[in-house]
Amino acid sequence: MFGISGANGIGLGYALWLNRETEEPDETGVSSFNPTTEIARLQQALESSRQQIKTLFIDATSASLVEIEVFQAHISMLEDPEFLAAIQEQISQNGMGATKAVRMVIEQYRQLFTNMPDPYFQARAADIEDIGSRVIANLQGKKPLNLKTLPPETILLADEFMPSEIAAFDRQNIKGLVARKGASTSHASIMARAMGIPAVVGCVDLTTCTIANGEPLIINGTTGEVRIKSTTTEWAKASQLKEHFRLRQQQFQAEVDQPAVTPDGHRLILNANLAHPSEVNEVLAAGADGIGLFRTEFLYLGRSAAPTEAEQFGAYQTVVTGLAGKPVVLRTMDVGGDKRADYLGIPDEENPFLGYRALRICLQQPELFRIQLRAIIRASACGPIKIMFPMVTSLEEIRQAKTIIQQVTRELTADGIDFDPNIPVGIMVEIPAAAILAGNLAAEVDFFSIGTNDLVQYTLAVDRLNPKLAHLYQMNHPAVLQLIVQVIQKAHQYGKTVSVCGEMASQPSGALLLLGMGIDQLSVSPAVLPEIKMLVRKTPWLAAQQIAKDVMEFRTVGEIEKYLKEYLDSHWA
Amino acid sequence: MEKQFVFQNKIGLHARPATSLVNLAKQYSEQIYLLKGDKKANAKSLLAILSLGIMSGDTVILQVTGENETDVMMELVKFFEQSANQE
Repeated sequence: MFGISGANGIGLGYALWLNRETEEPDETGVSSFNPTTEIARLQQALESSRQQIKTLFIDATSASLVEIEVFQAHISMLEDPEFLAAIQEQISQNGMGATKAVRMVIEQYRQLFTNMPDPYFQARAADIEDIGSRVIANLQGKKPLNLKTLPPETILLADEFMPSEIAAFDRQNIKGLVARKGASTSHASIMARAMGIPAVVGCVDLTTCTIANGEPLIINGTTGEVRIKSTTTEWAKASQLKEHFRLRQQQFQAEVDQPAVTPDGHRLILNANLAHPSEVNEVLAAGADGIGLFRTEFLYLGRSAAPTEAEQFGAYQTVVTGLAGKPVVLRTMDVGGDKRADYLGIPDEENPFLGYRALRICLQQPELFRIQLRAIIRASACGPIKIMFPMVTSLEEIRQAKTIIQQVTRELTADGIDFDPNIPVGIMVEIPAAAILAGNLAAEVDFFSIGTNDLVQYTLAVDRLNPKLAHLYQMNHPAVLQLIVQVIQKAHQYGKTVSVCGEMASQPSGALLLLGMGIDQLSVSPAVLPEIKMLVRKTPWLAAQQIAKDVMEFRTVGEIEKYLKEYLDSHWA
Repeated sequence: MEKQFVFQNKIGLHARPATSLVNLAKQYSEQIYLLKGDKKANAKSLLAILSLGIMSGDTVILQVTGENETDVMMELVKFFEQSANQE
């Protein structure tokens, strides 16, 4: 069975399905129905839910203060006398089964909160649903999986992984991920790569092939293969491959402390992407020159209200201080698209990637933006930072955003708070409009960072999450490459630096090509940074320039990829 | 007995302060209700309290009935005064 490569590497282990609530057979109307039994089952399920929340989230050593408060509220809801009375009434008066009664009462509360005028109270609907699905899972005798402590050698299977789930994984025991949905550029894959967990995504046959929990699996995150009934020889061979992969990683690791300089003396700035403050140590261990992309979304996702200034400042300060003088590029919130946050009022959209997203939300909700900018700018007192705006399409947007920065710096001055008055401000170039207007935009910003994931998706009109279109999602498409070359040229005309922070930079073929095109900086996931650094240190800049020149002469993706593959096979692999 | 007051803190009666209120109310056998407009909520039910959607500046009525209602009222008023000084 094959899927798409989500994160490189070989994984050997035992299957475990990530269980979510399913449609259950309903107890209502069954001849053995007995209200007293149903109420006893309900009470048991509430008690189990309470215990689970307590041990998993409140007593856990890793629990943050915020988590503890959220889950204490969940426990209080489980103990709520009115909630209990409403469910009991459905069971004893209306003869409903416990599951159905819970579902009904949860739905009533969900609607009640959803219809409240204030967004904070509206968002409590998510807490209600959360406890509801836990109680129902317990009624159905399903153990909700504790992602923080998995059995040894686990390969996790699911329809789809949520970024918040991946963040919660037990890194010690997880050996691989297989998902039916997703693509190599979906958020879950990006996170799996950052964590070094092999992953196969877009595996459409996953649900029809009946893999049982505990069944041994071999997954190859590089080729996308998932092997089910493997022989002992195959298992041994996969172990060998895994070992080979590990040894190569070790070789790359040997030169992490060296700068990314080509043998003929060209210095490339090689930064790391970061999605959570806990990754600072990985970034430093990978030998990064700085952080080229700090994705601040984690602060906004998987919660029911926007993060406060204090909370944001705490996170930014941790990262900036942790980098000890190396620069950090903070990208303002990029929520929307495949990343949802209900309290932001993102409507259900036909085309979320063309919708209410990132800077568009920030400019329409200036208060939200102002709070984030305040927290970011305050962090500049702790070390060098740069601010970057995502999803820019026009000069007007840049000017509006910069006006808000000016307002914030005036406020901070008035409040007597320390900050760096000369923070560089740049933009993501990820929409073709911005790439086409690169000359105009370069005049008004300090730097560009090309986001190839979205640039490819928008230039080629290919949804990067659609597994059926994976073959059309081509980062080496001549149209994309021409746009990138133009952006680099225009930026350099204005004396501005250009970086690439998309997936293209994390792949040897892409990094090689970008190096030859004259890119100033690359920002890649910490897991692949040592490999890209070694590649730069082994490739003369002159050779890379020749490669870029040759590639731009080709007219098809096929020719380009064949050429790059041949070069890498003979000089690199 | 009843006491009317203006609810004050920075954010409103959010889950955190509401959970503290419920935990406090549960320590007493008296009946405790919070009223806002035409809505009335059992102070021992977090969901009921949250469904009032109390924001800073809202006028609310605290109602306590039972044996030690004066003492309980005093404790609750103290709670609201303290929460007004917190975020």
